[in-house]
This record gives sequence, structure tokens and C-alpha cells, in this order.
Amino acid sequence: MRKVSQSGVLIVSLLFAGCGGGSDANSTGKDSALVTGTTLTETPSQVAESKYPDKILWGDTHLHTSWSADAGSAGTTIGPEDAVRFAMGEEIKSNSGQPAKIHRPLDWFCVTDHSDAMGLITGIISGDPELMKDPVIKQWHDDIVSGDPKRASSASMNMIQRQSTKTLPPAAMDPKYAQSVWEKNNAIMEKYYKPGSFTTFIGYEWTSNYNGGNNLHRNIIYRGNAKEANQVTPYTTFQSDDPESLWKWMDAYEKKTGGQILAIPHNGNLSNGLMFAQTTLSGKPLTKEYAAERQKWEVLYEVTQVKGTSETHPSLSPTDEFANFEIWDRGNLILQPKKPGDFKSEYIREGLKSGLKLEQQLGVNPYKYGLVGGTDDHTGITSAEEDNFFGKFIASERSKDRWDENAMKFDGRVVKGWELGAAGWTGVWATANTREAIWDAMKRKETYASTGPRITVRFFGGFDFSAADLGKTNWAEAAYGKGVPMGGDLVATTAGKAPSFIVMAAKDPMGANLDRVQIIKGWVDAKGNKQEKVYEVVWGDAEKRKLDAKGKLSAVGNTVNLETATVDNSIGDPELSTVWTDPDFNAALPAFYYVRVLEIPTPRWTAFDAVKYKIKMSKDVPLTLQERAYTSPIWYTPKK
Amino acid sequence: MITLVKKLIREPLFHFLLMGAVIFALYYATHPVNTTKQTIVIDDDMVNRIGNLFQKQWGRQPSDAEWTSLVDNEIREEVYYRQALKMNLDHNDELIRRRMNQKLDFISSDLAQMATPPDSALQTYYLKHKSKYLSQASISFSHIYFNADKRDHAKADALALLPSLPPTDSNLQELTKMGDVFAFTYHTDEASAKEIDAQMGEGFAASLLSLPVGQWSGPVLSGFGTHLVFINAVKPPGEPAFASIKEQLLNDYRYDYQQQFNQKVYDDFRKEYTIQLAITNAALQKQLAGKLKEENVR
Repeated sequence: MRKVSQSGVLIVSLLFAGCGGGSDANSTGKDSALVTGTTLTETPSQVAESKYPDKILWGDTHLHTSWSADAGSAGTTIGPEDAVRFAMGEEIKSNSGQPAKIHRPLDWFCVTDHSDAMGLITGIISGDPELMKDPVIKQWHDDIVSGDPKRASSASMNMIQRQSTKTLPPAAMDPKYAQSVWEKNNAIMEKYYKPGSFTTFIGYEWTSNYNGGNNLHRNIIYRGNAKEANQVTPYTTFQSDDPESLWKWMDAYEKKTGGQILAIPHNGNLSNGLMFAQTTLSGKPLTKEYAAERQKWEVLYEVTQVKGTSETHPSLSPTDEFANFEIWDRGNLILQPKKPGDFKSEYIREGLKSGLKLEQQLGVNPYKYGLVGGTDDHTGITSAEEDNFFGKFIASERSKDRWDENAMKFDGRVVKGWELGAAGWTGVWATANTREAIWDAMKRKETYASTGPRITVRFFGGFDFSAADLGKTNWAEAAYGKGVPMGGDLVATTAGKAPSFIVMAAKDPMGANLDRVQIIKGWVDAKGNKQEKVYEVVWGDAEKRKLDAKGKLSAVGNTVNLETATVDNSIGDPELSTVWTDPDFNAALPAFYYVRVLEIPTPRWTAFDAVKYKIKMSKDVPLTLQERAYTSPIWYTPKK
Repeated sequence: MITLVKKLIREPLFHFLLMGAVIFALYYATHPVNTTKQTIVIDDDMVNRIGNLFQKQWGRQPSDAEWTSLVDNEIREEVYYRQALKMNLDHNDELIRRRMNQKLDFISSDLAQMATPPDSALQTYYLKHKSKYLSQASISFSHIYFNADKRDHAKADALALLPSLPPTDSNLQELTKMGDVFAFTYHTDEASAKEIDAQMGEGFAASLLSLPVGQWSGPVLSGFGTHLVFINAVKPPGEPAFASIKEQLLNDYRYDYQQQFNQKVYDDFRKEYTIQLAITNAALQKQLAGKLKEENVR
């Protein structure tokens, strides 16, 4: 009895949150309750901008709510409004009824529900008679309203599978639901946008699971307001699942509205070799035009999130002892196994190297990405804090058993709950907390990804930096004058002088010390082979730790207490900075440089669970991790 | 028992009811159906609804022939619907239960959102949640940093330096050399408490607010270590004018009100019910019993 009435409430609030269709008499006018009091932002915000980007602003580029079909069907009840309120620091009730509050509010936020079947979920749950004519949708409906979490979850998995294998019922692809839900989403984003203190972005996810679950998803982030975004219904994969078509749609959007949008691909690790492939999706050789389009629309890549981290793979970077971090390498989004060699075109470090090589051949670099982090949580709760992790779906919200349950399951292929990662967020160097200032910073790639902690990282490259540049009180402002920040391009000099880089990293003020700062260089050698090298440039406890003959640095140690899930800062340093000159520079070879900052080992979310619920997890479950930040690269291109 | 029956037999009302029952029974026996004929009205509302639905599906209004069959269908549906209700077929149907739950919730949420609160209500709300709407304190300050990672006694070093500092921060570049290199700026102008805390760690701005203006003081702890601080100016947290935050107040007021209202509606309904447990599983029965006992007496 009680159980039934609870799930009744769940369904009801889902419907309320997401009723989208104009065909349902009961939805008309009801949901306007969500958005009353909204005024559209007509003019760009009147917030003073500083003269150089002096603010590091934290946010999430990637979050799903109950309005995403797979999330809603799996039991997520939190819609965009509560998702935004959570990110702002308000306490909300989680999908499983637990109080949820972020430790520190974010500065900006973007809800990115799937454009495919946007809002459809509400029709499915309410039993829209037209939809119920389709036996597949009827089955989803029955599973979802059964009140049995297992059946609801299987409906969700079935939707993901059908969406990715192009076997969705035709009724599910009817766009009539999308526009009204899109407008409601945008109205909520307008309502909570407070220029100067909290920025909401309008956005959505274009969810291409090409050829059966090969993850080519892109998040689309809007610079403009609802009035502009409402003019065009989001692009879906029912129209096309080829990114080239998406770019054409983006172009058409900008021409029609005069606005600006950008696309952020993610989860190359689940693309089964397609994300940074050597051909177009339709199998044609890459062209200069393809490269130019991709570079134009896709300036950022999401390197870390709940479904693993896509920086590099141990098999691609065998000498990088930190490559094996939160790796998901057993298949694609529906866990279809990979072919040998797929890794080479799935991870961003290799992708950046491919980009350099392709630029030599095509004249334009198609893979010139800055780096960001997004959670991709499907709970409406952006959750990158290890001690406050709310999981991927409602089933992985905090509970005694979530570590051992199946996080994803397709035809017997399983990812376990403990494999989910409490990551990631994006730091943006901006001149003001407004849509315009943050979006512009994204466009110029002045961004970096964090697996969770709010580590501050500065990174500048130039040919005239020296150690003296770091000491001054206003060194960062001066560095903008003498060089380029992360995401920038070094202009080749005739003298062949090696570039120098200023790097400064400060720990999360509420978090753990830093282990080390590394500069990762990728280049194409004179023979045309792709190369990479990890340089240790500055590290904690330097009085005790020295580089060995091979340039390797000993481990920082481990102060994690697994009995209490705590760490002490007796190792590592709170701040690390240096000016580093590339010792192996060859002015004739193209290269990129990005920074990886590592924290000292800290308790992983699994360790917090183990303490909280007094459980012992199996041996393969990692209980500590070294959180990290990855900056956008700085590129060097030789003069022709 | 016997006394009760005797009493009943003597009761005039009982005789009256008994007679009534006999009459009704006879009436139904001789007039099996038709006697309580009901009316189904085909009015403008119904016709418009049918027309709109058709328009949505087919993109046009129905033809004359279609109208006849549409209305025919509507009548058939309505007759079935009413008969099904009489046979209690709506009872214990999961879909209908949920749909009715949903409708009630919509109504409740709508009611909550309908009222536009008068300014006086918003002002009361503002007073009640004043601390949430205070504008952030804004602080301008300079500091000298003592890195605990590089010193054995960062706090003692700071305290030792304090008396020798000048009554000004005008030569900050030189003064900061008495301490360690700091990752961020040594001087901050008119930053909000939120911005300061985001960079220095929670609570740092609050510590600054307790310090005197116009002199070096401290030490103060941040997420990075120890600092001596020179406060140039402080603008304390202020109460923003009602008009300037009215929209935000309205948003929050409505959000809160809707949550409370929906809960209250449920609580009121819930009061009309007592839950009895009849579960074979003893453990579950026990687990639920404690909680329900509380709720039942509420």
C-alpha cells in the first residue's frame, strides 16, 4: 500500500515536471506553474567585465534531468528547475527522497537533456492514447507505471538500446513534444539567470549513437537567451546521426537567429573508434572542409565525467603511470565490444596528436580541442564531490548496495556501480559571471577540466617568459601581454627559440594538497610519427623528492585513512608554480602542450560509502584516487 | 439481542423502511430496465472537443459523414464509460489510480501557483528569510602570505613580523617579500565574501570582517596557510531594497508555497485515513508498524 502510493507520487511529479504535449488536455496550462514570473532577458547583461580574465568560474556543461527519456523512465523525478536550484546551493530532495545539497554552489550551469524524444517521456508515463497504440511504447508505459524499479530500469535500458540501434518506434520520434518542452526548459534557465552571480546556459544534448551505441554525443551550449533559442527546435538524431549534419544545422541556427552556439563532444571512450577517426562517419577521407567545419563548431572536448575519463589509455601511453585513471574500455555505450585498434581514435591525447598530423596533410587541424569536464549525471543532481556523490541514475543514488549493483546492463554485459566516477566540472577563466563572458571564454578555450576539486590552474605560453615573470603581484595580467593563455596558439618565431610556459596551480582551498604539475607534450616528428612525452615540471615536497635519471618522480605517498575516509595534508604542497622551457623543442615540428595537475591521493566515493554503511567491498574496487585537472592545450605551429 | 429486535419491531421508522424496500423490490421486478433513463448531452463543448482532436490528428475538420460516426463513437464510449463506472471497473486499476493521483496533484499545484501574493506577503517572506537575501559583504584588502608547507612555524613567523609592519600597505610589493610567494593576488579590491571564500577557502571572508580597518593585523588562516592582512575598506552586508529583489522573492515564495501547499493537501487528506497493517511478513510488519503508529495519531 505504502509502496504504491509512493511510486504514485513519483510518477505524478514526473508528469508535472515534464508534461510536454499539447495533445493532452490535462497538460494545457498546468505546467506554466513552473515558469511564472519569468521575464526574458532582452539585452546583454549589464555586468562590469574585468580588463583581463581574472575569475575562475566553476560549472557543469552536462546534466540530464527527468526530462531526458532515459532518466525519466529510470525513475528520475528532478526536473530542470530543481536541478538548477541544486547547482545554486539550495537543498532539494533527491529522486530517492534523500536531502541533497552541494557543498559549495557552482558559478554557472547547463542542463543538457537529450533532444531525441525530449518531453516524450511524459506522454509515455501518462499513457497518451496515441502513443499507447505502439506495443513497444505500451510496454515501456506498463513497465514504468508498474512501480517495480527493476521493470522501470529495464524500460530505460531498452530505450537507450533502441535509440542507439535505430529501432525506436516511429511514434517516439514525433517532434511535437519537443518544442513545448524546449521552451519550458529555456524559461526556467531565464528565471534563474542572475548576471554577475549565477549563470544558467540554455543547452541540450544531441545524442548520436552511430551504428549501435557508438557514442558521438555532442552537448550544444547557447550564448543567447530563450527568445533566440526558442526560434528553432533542437536537432535530433532522427534527422541525422552524423555530426556533419549537426554542424549544418548549427550554421542554419546562427544564420536564422543571429545567435552563437558551440558543440562539445564527449565519451570518445565509448565511441568504439569513431570519435577521432581517420575518415568521416560516412567513410570518406577527411578533407580540409571537414576539418574547418569541425574546428569551427567544436572547440571543446569533455575529457572526464561519470562514465569514465577519456584523456588517454594505458595501452596508448604505456610510460605514463597516471594513464590508468577511471578507465571504461570494455565497449561502447551499450557495451558492444571494441575492435583492436579502436583505442587509438577514442582518447583526446591521441586525438590532439592526430589533429597535428592531419593539419600537415589537410592544412587545417580538425581536432583542435580545449578541455572541459561535465558530470553527465542523469539524476538532475550535478555531483562531482566524492563525499557527496549522487550517482548516474536513481539506482546509484546513495545506498548501501549501489557499489555492487549493475550501473549499466545490456544483454548480460555489465558495468558495476563502483565503476562510476564522481566527475567532472569545468573551470573557466572569464571576465565576468555572465553568459556572454563565460561562453566567450569557452569559445577561446580558456577552460580546464577537473575530476571534481576546484584546483586553480593558470597556464601561459610565450617566447619571452622568464622566472622573474612569476614573482610580481600582477603577474597574470602581465602574462596576457607577453604570451597566450591556455587554448591559445604560439606564433612561430624565426629565431627557433624554445617556448617557455608559466604554470601556476593552487589546491582547492577546501581540499587536498597537490602532488605534482606535469606538462604533457604531443608532437609529430620529422618522420611523421606521432609522439608524446610527460614532463614533471614542479612538484610537492621538492626538498625530499628528486627526478631520477629517466626524468621520473617518486610517488608522493598516501595519507588516506580508510577507517574514517579522511586524508591529511602532511604531504604535497598547497601551491606549485614554475616557468618551464621545453628542453626538446624543434622549431620545425608542430606540437601541443597541456597541463595535468595531480592531487595527493584522497578517498574515492567508494571509500566514503564503505565508512558510512560499514561495508567491505571486493578487492577490485578502488578506494582512493588522485584527482586531477587537465588544461586546454597551447599549440605551436611551425612557420611554413 | 432479543430486546433489540423487540425494540425494532415496535419502532415506526422500521416499519416504514421495510415497506419501502418491499415496494422497490416489486417495482424492479415488474420494470427490469429503462426506468432510470439517463441523458447524454451532445453540446457545443463536446462537439468542439471532438473536432479539435480530429483536427490535431488529421490536420482538418471532419467531413459530414465523419461527424456522424465520430459522434456515434463518442456516444458508444460514454455509454460504456458510465456502465463501467457502475460496475466499479475503475477500482483497483493501476492506470486509473495513477491518472487520478496525477490530476489531483495538478490541481493542487495549480491552486498553489494561481495566487499572486500581494507585496505585503512578499515583504513578510523577505523579513522571514532576510539572511538569505543579504547582499554580500564587499572587502578590499592586502595580505602577506606564510606558507606552512615551507615553514615550520608559519603562525609564529607572522606574529613576529606584525609589530614591524608600517601603518600602510602602500609599498605592498616590498612587504610581500617578507612572506612567501602566493599563487593569487596580494591585493583584492571590492571582492564579495563569496568570491573571497571561493579563492581562499570558506570562512576567510568572515575572519576578515572581524579585523580592524586601516592597519596590519592577523594572523588569519586560509585554505593555503597563514596571512597577515591589511583591510583597506569594508562594505558590510546590506539589505537590498525590496523592489530590487522582488522577482527573486516571488520565484522563491512560489516555489516554497507550492511545496508546502502540496504537502498540506496530502496531510489533510491523509488525516481522514487510518492505516491497518495486515502483512504476513512479520519483519516488515514490525518495521512499518512503528512509523505508521506515529502517522495514524497525527
